[in-house]
Amino acid sequence: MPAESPRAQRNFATFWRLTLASVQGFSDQRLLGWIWWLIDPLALIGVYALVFGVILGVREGPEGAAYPFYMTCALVPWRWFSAATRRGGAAFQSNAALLSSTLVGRRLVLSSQVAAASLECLVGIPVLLVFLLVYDRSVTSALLWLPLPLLVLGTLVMAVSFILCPLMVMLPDLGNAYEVFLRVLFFLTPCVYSLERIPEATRSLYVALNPLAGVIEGIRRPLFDGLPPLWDALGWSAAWALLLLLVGHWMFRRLGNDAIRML
Amino acid sequence: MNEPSIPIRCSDLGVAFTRGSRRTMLRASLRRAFRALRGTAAGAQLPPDPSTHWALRHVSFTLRTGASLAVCGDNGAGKTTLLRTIAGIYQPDEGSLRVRGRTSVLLSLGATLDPRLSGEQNVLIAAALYGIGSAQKREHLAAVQAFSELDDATLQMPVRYYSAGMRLRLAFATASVLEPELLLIDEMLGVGDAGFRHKSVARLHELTAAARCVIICSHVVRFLRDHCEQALWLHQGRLMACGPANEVLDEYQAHTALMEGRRTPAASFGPLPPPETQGAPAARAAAGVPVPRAQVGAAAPRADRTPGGVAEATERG
Repeated sequence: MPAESPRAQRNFATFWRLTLASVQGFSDQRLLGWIWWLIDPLALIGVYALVFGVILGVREGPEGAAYPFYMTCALVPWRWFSAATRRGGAAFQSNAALLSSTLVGRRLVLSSQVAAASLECLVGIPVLLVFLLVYDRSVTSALLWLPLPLLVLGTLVMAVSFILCPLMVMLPDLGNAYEVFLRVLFFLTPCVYSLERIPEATRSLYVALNPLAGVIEGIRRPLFDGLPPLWDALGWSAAWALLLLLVGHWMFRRLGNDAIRML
Repeated sequence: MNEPSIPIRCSDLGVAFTRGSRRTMLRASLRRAFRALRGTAAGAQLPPDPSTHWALRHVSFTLRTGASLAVCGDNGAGKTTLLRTIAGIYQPDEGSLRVRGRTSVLLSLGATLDPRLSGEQNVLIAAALYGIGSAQKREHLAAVQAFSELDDATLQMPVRYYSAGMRLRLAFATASVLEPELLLIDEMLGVGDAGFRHKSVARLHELTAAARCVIICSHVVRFLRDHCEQALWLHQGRLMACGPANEVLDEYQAHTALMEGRRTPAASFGPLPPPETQGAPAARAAAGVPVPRAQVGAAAPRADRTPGGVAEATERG
């Protein structure tokens, strides 16, 4: 038998192999392959820019003409959140063959699915860069704040995936319910409009109750306005992320065994 | 003389499933999770519940290094549940299970390979899982390909396009080339052409000769009789007998013959015999009475084999 590598190295190799298989599995089965990862966000941005920017005449930011860029700054992280939680939530179901025949770390399986969805969303970054050039945006030091809201968003993605993953096996309806929830959440999150549109009297409550509000605004401000994130809003998002991560971790640990038996 | 090492020690093992609708299952799981949160029973002891179905209960046995164990029983006896619990996929709800060994592989024709992925991807995932570094992966892939006799083009195809025989070849080659210390095989070896069957049986003998353990679940009694020295008979989740393969399999066949006789039209509506606690296991199984624990034997080591050591021990239970 070939020499066995240390546990950490083995876990990373398994994680990477599963991630790669998931990404390749998607692209190999389609004629256009990975180009779909580019078509999908471009179509989304195009439709929203047409509906909100042209037909409804929404103007956001200091100059209304940059609305497509303004919206893209929010749509790219939104797509990451929605795609990664969808894929992470369905991790047990999509890897049922592996999980019911081999002893494999369940967190590894879930993380690999989230990582695969995240890799697919990375193509959103070139789109953002193109907009930076088109709208002649200067690179400011505020971009250095970006890792912070991205870290909070990543924590939220993992937390929601931990919660959904065992529950989706036990309750398949949850998949449909989550799709409806995402649609509602999208319009309740400041993606196609700014936080300033929320009446001032209820803005604090809005920010406190929507974990994504602070994160999306926290990513858009450094990118679009060259300003640091709104700290109170980002603080609420971080608090939600930590709370949901604790709940998710507990649920995943307690319900994981039962979920595997139902696969 | 040293005591031979015991890679599997199973004591009073119980694994339960919740029967009923998805809602019932979810409710039972949440109830257990919240009981654990409150610190009562730590979620391990299941409360009495009519929806609880014990797929395995009060199962005790030990397996020594280099043994080949057959697991027999009717459909729903708990064979696959036992293998999955040994593999660590299911956690015991009762009792304890200690498994020593660097690797254990569960083979099941329908489940081992991911049909969406190519054969090569499946092999590489298995290699990563069992700690084969990237430097050795090409060598490993070549070994799997040589054993399975599948060509390059086939290995690049998604597994869903494979025939049953090709899946078997790839799954068995992937598992056996890894040379696990414990190889678990679930209902697989009846498939495939005669040439590959012969080759895989020879491989199983090589593994047991190298002091590795093999556990085979099957309904093909003749195959089990030919290739296993010890046997374990499960009936409705209970251990009916455990010991030398020929004795246990004789009992099992007597039981199946008895059940076949009962299924004849004349006898199918007849009264069942009263449960008995004495008598042959076949008669007890027919009456749905498990074997008393005192009669449960342990799989003994083969006399002609020196026990091998375990390089790295893992323990579950």
